[in-house]
Amino acid sequence: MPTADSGLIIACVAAYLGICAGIGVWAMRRTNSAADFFLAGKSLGPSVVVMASISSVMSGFGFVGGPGLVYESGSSSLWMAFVCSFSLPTAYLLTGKRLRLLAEVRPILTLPEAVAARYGGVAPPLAMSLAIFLGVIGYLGTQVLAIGTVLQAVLGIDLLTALGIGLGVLAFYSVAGGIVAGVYTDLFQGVLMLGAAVAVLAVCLQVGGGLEAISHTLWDMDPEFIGPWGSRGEMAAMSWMLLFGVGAAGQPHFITKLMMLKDIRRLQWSALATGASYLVLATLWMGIGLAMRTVVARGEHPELANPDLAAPTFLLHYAPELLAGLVFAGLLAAIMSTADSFLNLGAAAIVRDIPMALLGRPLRRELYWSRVVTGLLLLLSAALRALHGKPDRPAGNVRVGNVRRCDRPQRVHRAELETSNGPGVRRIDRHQHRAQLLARDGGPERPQPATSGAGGRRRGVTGLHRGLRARLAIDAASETRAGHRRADGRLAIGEVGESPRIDGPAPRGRHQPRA
Amino acid sequence: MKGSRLPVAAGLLCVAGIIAGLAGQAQALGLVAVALLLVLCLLALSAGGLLSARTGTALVAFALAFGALVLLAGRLHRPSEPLRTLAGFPPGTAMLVLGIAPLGLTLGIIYGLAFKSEVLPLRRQREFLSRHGRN
Repeated sequence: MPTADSGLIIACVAAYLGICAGIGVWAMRRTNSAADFFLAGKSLGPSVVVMASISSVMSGFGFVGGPGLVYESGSSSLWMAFVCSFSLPTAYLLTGKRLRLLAEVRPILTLPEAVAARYGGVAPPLAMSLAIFLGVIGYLGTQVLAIGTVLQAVLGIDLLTALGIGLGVLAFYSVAGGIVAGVYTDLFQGVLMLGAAVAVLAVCLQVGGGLEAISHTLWDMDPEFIGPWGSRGEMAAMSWMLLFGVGAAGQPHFITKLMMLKDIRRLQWSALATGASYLVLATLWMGIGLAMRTVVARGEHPELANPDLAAPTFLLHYAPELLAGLVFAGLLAAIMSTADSFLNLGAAAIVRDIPMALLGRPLRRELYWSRVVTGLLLLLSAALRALHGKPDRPAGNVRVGNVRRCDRPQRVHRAELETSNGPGVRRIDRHQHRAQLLARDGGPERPQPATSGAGGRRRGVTGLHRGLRARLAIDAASETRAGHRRADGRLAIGEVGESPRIDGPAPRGRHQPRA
Repeated sequence: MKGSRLPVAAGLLCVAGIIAGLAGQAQALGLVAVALLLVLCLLALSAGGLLSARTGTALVAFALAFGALVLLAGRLHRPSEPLRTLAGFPPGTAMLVLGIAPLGLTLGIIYGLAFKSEVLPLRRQREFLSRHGRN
């Protein structure tokens, strides 16, 4: 993870943490009952609900993993980002009105209670409570680590201290203010990110020299990368469209927000506003990934060791400091808001849903126990994550992507493109180069005949394992090679298998990275 | 909802999606995904028997346009030829970024326009309250 050495960026993140704590104090005064803690008293306006919805859906995965996926495999992941423009309105269509009406006529605070009201019995709400609880624990652990990783990068401190600061702020406002604090920090984050997304897109286009130039560079590098399906191919793109197009309606942290609306009639245009807002945020996902890959393909920036570094690297090197600071604050906010939503859902499952299903009543002193359980859940998820070890993605909640990534040819070999842009860019035999590079680095991989398409997907466990080992070797090799360029601006590794030469400074591209 | 064939259609589409996926037919899987979304929307709106012909037609038109854009994205992608751009993107990618992404907002517009007459009319609210209310 690159480290921010800018006082302005650190100030933005510190200000954000301070504002979160302030919102926590304010929300604590407004949280007097379990209804306030879990459902914000069903008193929110449509703009708060819309912003809270998109903020909780666009987690750290959206801001870190999304650009990383575009950087790594081009257009493939855009099928999961852009389908949200209709999958989020679909969620309103399928569940919005029904959930809100149920919350109107029954003392319902959680999704399992809504299921119990609609279908009756013990098994449906109990099964849903357990499913939510298990999901919360798994998801929270990843978010917890993501908070620590981002703060570590921004503040330049060790992971344990970063986790202490981040979790301290998160624990304070989620325990004290419950979902009230959560939705208002979400509102702050949503507004911040909508503005920042537009500004970041403009910076991306400027850095890439315009959309046309970006497309030409990436097409010359690999037509599939910038084609409609991306490097992962048609099947991955369509599968993601199906998964995210239909699955968005089942995200508990999103549809719970629909029950918080004060006036059910305000649902009318909220669906459109949610879809449109998410679409604006998705431009950040696309823009950073494409721009970062473009500057790497042109040789203006070293290859990244990990695709997840695309967003932080781009912000730290190419975006104006204030904008980078705001987006870093937004990134932290995205992770924390999702974590807060899941903490709230998990606490509700333990304090309210499971006792309701088994005993017919929630725990006594519900608000008190909700706060205690929220804190305990945070500790439990952090402990489980610590035991489990560090994941390969800071915010990666798309495990399919992780698995597939190991099975793909590595893009790092594009770094040996001869010139920075234009006609000099040539296509390379990536498989041959990969094999030679690995042979040089002692890697175990042999040349693969066809890694895209059905043949490549059938390699199974052995292929995955081999791919993972190959990736480690390639990352190490690319890091070594990427920093060395000729004085004329060309990469010094133009020939396959050639040893890197340190004979000149990095080229000055159109946009030289900030020092 | 009783007697409706839409849930059956949704189930059949899920099976078709699995078959298309296993057969490696990506575009067929994409079209199944679009059809499944259409059926789910029709299902949600027709639950109270208030789905109008106008809204139904709009939803079908949305799904047809969506499906056509998915197919078009594949047809326009010619990796072996020199790049031609459409609004800055390769033509196939333009279908996704400038076609499918904004088209999705149509669903939000349909929902907003049909809200008072079909999503939440007064009669349906009363029915709902009498069925699920405690009193």
